[in-house]
Amino acid sequence: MNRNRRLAWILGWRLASRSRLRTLLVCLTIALPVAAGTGVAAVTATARVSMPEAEAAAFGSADGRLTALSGERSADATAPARLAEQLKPSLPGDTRLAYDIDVLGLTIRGPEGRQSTVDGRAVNLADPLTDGLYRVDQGAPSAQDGTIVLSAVLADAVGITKTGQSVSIGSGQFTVSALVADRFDLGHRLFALPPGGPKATAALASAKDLGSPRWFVTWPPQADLPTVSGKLKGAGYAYVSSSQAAAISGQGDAMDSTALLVGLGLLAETVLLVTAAFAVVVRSQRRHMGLLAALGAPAKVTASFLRTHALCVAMIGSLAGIAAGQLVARVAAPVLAERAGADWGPVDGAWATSLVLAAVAVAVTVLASMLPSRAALREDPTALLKAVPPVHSTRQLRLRTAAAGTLVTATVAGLAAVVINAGALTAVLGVIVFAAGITATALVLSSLAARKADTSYLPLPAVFRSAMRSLLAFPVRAITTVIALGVVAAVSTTVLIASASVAHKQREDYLPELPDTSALIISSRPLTTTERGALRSSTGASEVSTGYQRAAIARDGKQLPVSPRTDFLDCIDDRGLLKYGNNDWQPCYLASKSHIPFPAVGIADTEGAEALAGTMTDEQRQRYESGQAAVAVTPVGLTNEVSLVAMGRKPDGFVLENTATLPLIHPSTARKTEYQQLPAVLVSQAGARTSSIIPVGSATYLLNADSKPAQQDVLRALPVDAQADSTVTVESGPSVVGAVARLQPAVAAISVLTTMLIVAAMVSLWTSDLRREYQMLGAVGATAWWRRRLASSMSGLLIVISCVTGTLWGIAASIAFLTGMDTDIAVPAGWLAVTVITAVITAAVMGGALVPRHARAQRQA
Amino acid sequence: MRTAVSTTPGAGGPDEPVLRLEGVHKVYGTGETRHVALDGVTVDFHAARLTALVGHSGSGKSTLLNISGGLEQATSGTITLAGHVLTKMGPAELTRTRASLVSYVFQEYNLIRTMTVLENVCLPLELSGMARAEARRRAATALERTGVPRHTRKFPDQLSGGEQQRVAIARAIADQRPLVLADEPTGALDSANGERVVELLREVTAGGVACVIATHNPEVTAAADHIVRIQDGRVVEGGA
Repeated sequence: MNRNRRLAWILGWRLASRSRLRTLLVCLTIALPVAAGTGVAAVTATARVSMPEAEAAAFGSADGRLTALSGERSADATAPARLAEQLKPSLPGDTRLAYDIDVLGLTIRGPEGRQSTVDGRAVNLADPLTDGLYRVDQGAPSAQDGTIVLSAVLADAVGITKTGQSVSIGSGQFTVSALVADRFDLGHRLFALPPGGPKATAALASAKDLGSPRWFVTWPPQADLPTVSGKLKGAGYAYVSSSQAAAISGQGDAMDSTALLVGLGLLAETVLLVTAAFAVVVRSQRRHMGLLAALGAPAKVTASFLRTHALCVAMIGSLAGIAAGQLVARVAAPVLAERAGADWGPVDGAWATSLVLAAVAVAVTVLASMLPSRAALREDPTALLKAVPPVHSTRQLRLRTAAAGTLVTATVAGLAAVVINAGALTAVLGVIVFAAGITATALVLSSLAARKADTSYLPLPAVFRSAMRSLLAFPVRAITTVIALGVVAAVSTTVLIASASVAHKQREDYLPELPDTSALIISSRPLTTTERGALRSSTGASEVSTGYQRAAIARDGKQLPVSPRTDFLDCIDDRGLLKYGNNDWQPCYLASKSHIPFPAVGIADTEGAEALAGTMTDEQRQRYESGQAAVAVTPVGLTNEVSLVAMGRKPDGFVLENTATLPLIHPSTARKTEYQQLPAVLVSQAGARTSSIIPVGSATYLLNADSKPAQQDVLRALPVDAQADSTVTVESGPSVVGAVARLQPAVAAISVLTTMLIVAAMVSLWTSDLRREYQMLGAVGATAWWRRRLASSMSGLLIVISCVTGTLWGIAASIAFLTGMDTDIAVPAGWLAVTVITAVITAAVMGGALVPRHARAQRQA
Repeated sequence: MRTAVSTTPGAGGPDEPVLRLEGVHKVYGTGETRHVALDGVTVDFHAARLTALVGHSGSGKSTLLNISGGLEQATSGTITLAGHVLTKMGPAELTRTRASLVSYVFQEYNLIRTMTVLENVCLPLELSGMARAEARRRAATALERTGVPRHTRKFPDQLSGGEQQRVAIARAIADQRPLVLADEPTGALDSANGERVVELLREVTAGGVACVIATHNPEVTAAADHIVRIQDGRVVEGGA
């Protein structure tokens, strides 16, 4: 090794290993952002749905799917072989197909008589084309008729513990060949039945409904897809290759945006924290730098020694950060996944991102060490030997003010662009606002403080005033710390506001299937008031609503369900086809602003309407009973007027028919939560008659209790003659959509904790930097208690200044980001207050605690 | 690649001074803050001679030492060190010259606290291009001469003030550079340690080195071969 380089390594490494406390603090300032970044990257990578995963979830290992254009139920839906024969002329030779159809409302009974009516699919999971659709937890899917695959949740519900046990559907017995899990809908009760055999056909016949036939398809290598597509359209099918997968994968985009925001914030935070830390380190080494110069060391040796020190500390900090981040991710990801109600699978370490973060941190640290060391090396060795702080020239001051002015201008321009709604650029502008804003504020403060740099450092009687004067006596130190802590406050504020706003949006959008304390009863016959009373008393329920029925209109011998016209229906194009190219509702649901899935209209009397939607005023009740108005049960996406639309399927697409437009009542005591199993809108019997709507299907009741009712208990409490063919649902399906809402408290707590740690590290550095000054104050008669109060006040002041500027810029950045994301701003005032109070207390305590007890008269003793 | 600097004490012969200052001025600041630290100083420092630089605080002693060693640039005048004109040199060349020709001893010892005693003494030797093994051998010898041979693996913080100053002197003499500049080397020491340091510096001087000590200590002055008195930036006694 080159002699000079070896000397630099010795000096650099020794500085790190001998000044353990300072090294620990600097490592902490590097490790915390790296750990946070690594943790976020790993959790995001674990949680996100990649395109290949989305494709596997949508298409298995097939190239894509063929879906029926009409959405009509085919007469041959339970006979895939016949359907395949009809399709063959439209397909190239060697095309491979695997049949798939949605099965709705199939009742499955377990060995102990426990039953569950669920939706699932008839698909042969033993077919290689379906590989990857589900994760097989136990056994292996079979293609044999008489076998069935269950999800773990459904197996649990019907009392199946292992493969090989049997369930019955109608009179048919099915052997469970495998237990599976769907990564994205773990909580769903689903089954997969290999179609085609006599047992499966009989079972499907007992389902309440079947979807449109679909096929997984793999094309031969030379297939001419445009030609094939044309032929398929003629046969009533469309080929879907990626839209559904893109829709599933798209769910991860919001998560990626959040991760990007956090990443950019962390980058800015790392840059400024490390710069502030190394300003302290270089200042502490001024005497050594002067000494090296006096001994004849070339400037490159001195620069190299500080660079090497930075490299050592950065490597240690980054590695510690990666280790801590990975550890946190491994502990947190399963907990977060459970809270989100999803199975994220094994933790993805996102090692590439972690290494990039570490490399960036190392590069930033080395650069941060170079800037102050280069500035110091330009000074006379005698000035360095005296270890006096550098004096800023008027020129430097002007340059700094000019830079601040430029950044302020850029910030104002960025804010103006946000205000005038610059569209897609707003997210980018958010970054500019964030980075430029905080830097500009700090630089302006720096310029102002530098003008006061000659302020006397003699303590004044009042500790608080002394603290202020002491801060001004060390303007560069104070400002670098303010910048770093301001960025911490800004990042923390941004994370808190962004997570709270996204959580708020998701709470708005989230439609839980049922609340935990409710059961939905679809009774085979209407229940009398006495029977409902008996049901209430025997289940301990507080309320059992009067029954309501779904609304429909009769057209061409069919019953067309009636829905409120919401933007969900805008997903249907002018040809009456769903814009997303298949018959699945999910892409429409994702694209819809109202997010009301399967919107429906129900018919109920006034008592039932109030039980479901909330108490109405006398005037509203009168309007509802007379049929002049409808009442909103799920108000999201509905205004003060609602158009009722009947939706039917025709061979060439959908048919939409407006039946009535009614004023909509929003009861003042409306429920806070919305249940997607309830109708969105209710009309009275009179309203139904006016709108030519008829009640169809079974009477449905909502049972509310104080605690989660047991499905079997509710079923047994029904009249004996109604038990057999009634369905009781107590399931409260977890929703991936609500993940951020559920995780928001955890995110906020982590943000507060991280802020506290960074503040502790920075204040410790600051206090250790002023160690000798405190010792000198002791030498001139300041008591230890006085010095502690001075240190606490100075640290507290620093944090207050940092928090004020940082929080303001955090709010500005959040507004810029969230405006771009079309999200309402939710300011979590409580969490912000907790963050600020925690930071101030931490700073004051750390500042006071680290003041040296002993007094020394000499500055360089 | 460092350029070798001739270490011949005086370019013109054995009687030539190692260090010559001719009409040296040093002015700090401008306008109202203008302060003349050295005002036309002309003085010679010869090999094998211990020179005491005396004067009140603020008289310009430290400035004279700093300028003599190339740590600061003179405002005007000529400084010739072992035949090299320092006033014509840039910062990099001055650094190279210091590495070859000048050793320092400071009042506050100025040892590098993160290096062991042996490493501190080796540092200037290695900086001047010496092989590591040779540097360690010479450092060990210098430490033996200054009476701290048992502390080679210790760090400066583990030594007493007197021991630290002896290590600093060992660092100054290890490389046998022709000029040793000492700024109040006994200022932070008790009298016994102070005497030991003066004794060491005399030994060093006897080896042919020009040793210049800025001091207030009468015992150091008494031990000097030559006394240069400075007052308000001017040499009032002992000048050339």
